[in-house]
Amino acid sequence: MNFENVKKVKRSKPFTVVDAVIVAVLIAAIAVAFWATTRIPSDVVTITTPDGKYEYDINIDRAIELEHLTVHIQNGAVWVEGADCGDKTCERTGRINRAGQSIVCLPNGISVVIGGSGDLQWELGR
Amino acid sequence: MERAVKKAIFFIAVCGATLLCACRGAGYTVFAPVPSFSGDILFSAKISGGRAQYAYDGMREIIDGIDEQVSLTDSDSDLSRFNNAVANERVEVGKYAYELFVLSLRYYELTGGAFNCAVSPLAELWHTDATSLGMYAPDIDGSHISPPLPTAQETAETAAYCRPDTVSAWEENGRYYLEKSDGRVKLDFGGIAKGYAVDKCVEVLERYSVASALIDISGNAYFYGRYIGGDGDWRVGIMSPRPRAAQTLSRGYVCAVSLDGDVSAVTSGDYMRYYIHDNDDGSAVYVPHILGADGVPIGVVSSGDGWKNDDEWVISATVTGESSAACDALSTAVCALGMEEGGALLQKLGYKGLIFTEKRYTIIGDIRLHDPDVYDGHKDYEYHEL
Repeated sequence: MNFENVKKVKRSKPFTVVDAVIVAVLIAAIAVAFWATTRIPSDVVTITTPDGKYEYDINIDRAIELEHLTVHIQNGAVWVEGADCGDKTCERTGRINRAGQSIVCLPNGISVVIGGSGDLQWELGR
Repeated sequence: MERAVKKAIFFIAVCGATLLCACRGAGYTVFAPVPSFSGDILFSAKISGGRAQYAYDGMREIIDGIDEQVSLTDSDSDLSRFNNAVANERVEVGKYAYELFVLSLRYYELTGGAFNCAVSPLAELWHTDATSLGMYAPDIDGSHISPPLPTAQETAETAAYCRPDTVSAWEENGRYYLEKSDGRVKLDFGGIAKGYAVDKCVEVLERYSVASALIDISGNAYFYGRYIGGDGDWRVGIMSPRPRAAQTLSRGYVCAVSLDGDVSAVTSGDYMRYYIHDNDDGSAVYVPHILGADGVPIGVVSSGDGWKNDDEWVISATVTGESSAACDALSTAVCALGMEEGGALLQKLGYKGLIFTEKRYTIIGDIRLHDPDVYDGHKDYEYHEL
């Protein structure tokens, strides 16, 4: 038996201060990464049209004029006006202001969605 | 120091793998609403776990397959061919169309005719079909066109042949057939096809080992598994039925409910699809798209030679249970039957529900309201115990 090796093992520390610092830094980095990857912004209005996808801050009032309708963002609420489609279901949807709510104009292939998960996962009867 | 570096690499590998697994479990892959069923209906999904993209593609395929067979905008679909057939002409249809008819007939019988897949001629007579509602639905500024209403006699004459029980359905050597004894009968599975499609989509989710998902086909929602987040319950807002569409820009929630997983929920009501008829005396009649078992739209009753709105009728019915097709059919049937009879039907069939009339509401089964002081629209209605 090599007693020198046994002594070396006995002298070694399984968990040094350097190790503790590395672990702490790793845990912090993982927590930040987890928060960043799972967080869903609740203040983004996503407008999807046949031409592409556009995002707007719900806290900044504006009117977005699209080819077939105008999307209004005002005081944290979103609604549609001036739709040139026949059924105007999108206009009749009214104002939405909660994360997860949406307005859809089927004839023109346009959807407006408020991002985030909010308190509710879904809504019925719209 | 070399040991420290090795340990760091080990920790990074282990924690990275854990993080990836955690993110995969915690998040949903969201599939934005897309037109389906010939473009009239929206399909959306969010899926967690399993093979999400495969599951989504599989569901789209199922929906397209059902649409191919039962679309009424496609003159070559199985259902269009059946509707155009003459009496006693045998029409071969696909399995989906066959199963939808069998299901529809079952709910026609279970609901005493309140759910009826053969009301197309009545809907056209009352201008409550999709094309007519597109023309007559009031604008957001309140302006509207007032279409003429049929007489009680015209309604009764049309209702007399709007009967799905005059249609025979059978399977022969792996092929499916429908045949009608009255050439005027036309079928429309609009009141149950979405729910049926949702049930078929659930089978796809199972096939691809999905852990949790929410799928919705224009109001037919299914909550698959437990919600990943919070306490695992799905929290669902029920839109307020009043004021009606075009009368408000800010629709709130009449309540919110907490649902366990593996359950469907569907809401029907009189407030989204309707038109206004102006009587000669200046009174208005609100005519919703849901027809009662007598062929007259819900909430509409005869008054002398004309029509008026009743004192009370079901304005919103939410039904929740295992089968989305059943929820679809039953939510319509409850609107047609009224609070008492509709509530009793749900109790008999083991389904849960929330029923609102103009004045009252009731809860069937052990539905849990979520945060009733925040989602408090129901407090405007009087609670009625059945």
